[in-house]
Amino acid sequence: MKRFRDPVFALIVYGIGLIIISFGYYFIPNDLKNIVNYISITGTFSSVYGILVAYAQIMSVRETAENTKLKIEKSNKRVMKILSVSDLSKAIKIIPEIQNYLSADKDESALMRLKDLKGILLNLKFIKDIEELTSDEKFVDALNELSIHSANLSKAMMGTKTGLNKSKIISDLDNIENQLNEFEGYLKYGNYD
Amino acid sequence: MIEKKYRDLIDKLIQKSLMKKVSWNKSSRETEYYVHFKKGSFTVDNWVNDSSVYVDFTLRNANGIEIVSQTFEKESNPEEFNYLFKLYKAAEESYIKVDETISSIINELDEEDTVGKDEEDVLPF
Repeated sequence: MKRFRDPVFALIVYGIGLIIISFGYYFIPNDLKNIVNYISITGTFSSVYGILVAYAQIMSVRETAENTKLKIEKSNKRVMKILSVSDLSKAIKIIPEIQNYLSADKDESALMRLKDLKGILLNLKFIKDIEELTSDEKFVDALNELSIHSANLSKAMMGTKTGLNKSKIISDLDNIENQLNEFEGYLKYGNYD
Repeated sequence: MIEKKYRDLIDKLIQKSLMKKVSWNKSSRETEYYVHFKKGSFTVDNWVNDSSVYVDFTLRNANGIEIVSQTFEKESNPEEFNYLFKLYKAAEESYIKVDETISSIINELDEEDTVGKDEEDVLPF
């Protein structure tokens, strides 16, 4: 159908059709052979052919539009995937930073980075294309653990609650790092499209 | 005052915890326990601050955002405190496996064999 968008091709087909019609005209009874009937036959052919070409062109344009839409969607998905991988890499890099701050008793900095980490993971939840990954129980658990740890760290800093176990935060962060690495690998190299 | 919907949730948690059907975990606080759900988490904590005893619970959604968090002091709010403390005790016992440990020890004591290990047998090397 796409070929009918080419005027030369459409004209060639029209010419061939006209020759076939003229050839057919040769076989009609002699008393019907006159210029009016010839014009009427070729006119009918031209009209029908015109409608068919118009239809073919409309279909072809629609097909092209749909293909373009699909390509745009695919490219958007790819961009979102790249952004997600980049956000995950950023999150993974923050984890050792938080662990170092906690080990060095720099609680304010640790809390700030914990919140950054939570923010990045939370933003990933709003990317529809990776919804399957972010609605995974492990991801939900990681977000909740980060929230619990930041609340506890914040309360310990304010002095409303004592008895914070920083080594538990550090070990949980190790687990979260492993899970995020798994997600990143899946997005990068898995069949996630 | 705990709202009815949260009270229903806590009732169910107490019931299920007593039946040993809730996997409680310890959080980054020595006295806090939490449980993960498919769409969120629940924490319960009991602590002492300036000689006052408190118990609290926090419910979070799937994004880790707090839905509700309530704290009760023993002296000023004994009814709510005792109610929530029941859940806290159930969570603690479930986490440290009190009943399982006691019943395992009783079973061991009921057997004819000698219980306990000599000091030199404790380490495998």
